[in-house]
Amino acid sequence: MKTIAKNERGGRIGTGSAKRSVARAEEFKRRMLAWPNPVEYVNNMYACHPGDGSAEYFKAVFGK
Amino acid sequence: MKPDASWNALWEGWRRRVEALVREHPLQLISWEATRRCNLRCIHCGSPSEEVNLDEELTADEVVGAFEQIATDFDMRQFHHVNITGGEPFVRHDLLGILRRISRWPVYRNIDIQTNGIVLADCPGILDELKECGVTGLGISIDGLEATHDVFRCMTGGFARAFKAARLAVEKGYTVTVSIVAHAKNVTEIPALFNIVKKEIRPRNFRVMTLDSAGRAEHLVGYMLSAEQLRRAIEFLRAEYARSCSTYADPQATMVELGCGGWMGTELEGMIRPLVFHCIAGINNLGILYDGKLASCSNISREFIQGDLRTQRVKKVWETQYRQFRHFEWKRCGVCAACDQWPFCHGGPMHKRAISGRLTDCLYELLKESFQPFPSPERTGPTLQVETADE
Repeated sequence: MKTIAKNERGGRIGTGSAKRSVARAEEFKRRMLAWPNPVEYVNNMYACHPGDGSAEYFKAVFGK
Repeated sequence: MKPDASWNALWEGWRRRVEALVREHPLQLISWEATRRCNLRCIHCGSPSEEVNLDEELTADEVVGAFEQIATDFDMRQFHHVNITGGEPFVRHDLLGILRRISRWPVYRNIDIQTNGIVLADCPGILDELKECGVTGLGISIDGLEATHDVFRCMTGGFARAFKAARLAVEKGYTVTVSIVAHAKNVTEIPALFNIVKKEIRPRNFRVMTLDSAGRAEHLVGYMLSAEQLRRAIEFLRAEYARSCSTYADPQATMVELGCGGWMGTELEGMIRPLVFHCIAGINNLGILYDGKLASCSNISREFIQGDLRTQRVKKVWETQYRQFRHFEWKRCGVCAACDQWPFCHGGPMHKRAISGRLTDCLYELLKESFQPFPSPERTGPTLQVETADE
């Protein structure tokens, strides 16, 4: 059992890959919050996909 | 620990964009409840057929006329897609005919259907026809491992058929979401189901919905998630999301997400699903119910019906009758009254709200019960103890 979480505001988190994973997820979260349409993906969640129309969102938020 | 100013600025920008969206309320999504009839009788169904008059179902001509009227009257430049729910949409024998007709309009060539998969498994040729009708996505429900699913759905072999339908849909190139409704009897099966689904179906999404106290589930005893059970589900999602989210730009990757059961707090939002949640019912989402009544989503209480497309122009109802979906203060009561998350959440999902303002449950509040002490939002978020593989 390891403590991997903390959050966007920093604090102690686990070491190694778990720490890097959380840091990466936080970076993606920053991009989500900055995306022009605040419900871009919520629109998809109400259905069942990120379809072709959302490719841009996924590239921008989760791309390298 | 001091708050991170850059995060505060991001949240403030997000909040302002939500407010702008509410002011503008462009139509981006239509949720059409195709029918309340179903070929299953699931014990948890949130929209059961026994609660309504099935004779009132819209005819094919009425459905097509409504979609034509909407395409004519609304500014569709921001329109995104049509989401078809039920009941079970495929029990409508005229469904394909309706889809063929409405998909003649280019704006309606991005259609999703939520299904239990029974008809698709038994008649897989339909998957080829759907492609010609503008259908791009399929949502298929699998509510636990085989024994659990079949009991929950009251059908021996139901799991196998849902599984088959989902696998075939992926093979045919549809964007597929596999959803599980999490409740007290299946929550421990979520990680195992996810592993099987990811390996053998490879859908785009694996969605965890939380059971709502509505429809038949309102009368179930011992099925609602406890605080500890919710924490387990959230821990799974957070750990899996952190592990896999760097692959999500790849359309072949399987994403995990919590469904629209509620706001989870500024710390967890964006860390358990590839989005920051805000209910869009009545903001950019129009619900057309099985009988032509107009609502903000096909999932919410019929107390919130705002009009009737059989007698009214949809655009006029959208512009004049949807005030309660775009002004949130009436919901600021009960647990919402003093909640620090109100500026972002605005009262959570409409499907948990009664017209009196009463909220059936709040996942954020429930989760707080299982994290002690629960840090203040000015300092940090909940620290989750997550079982992870050794590094």
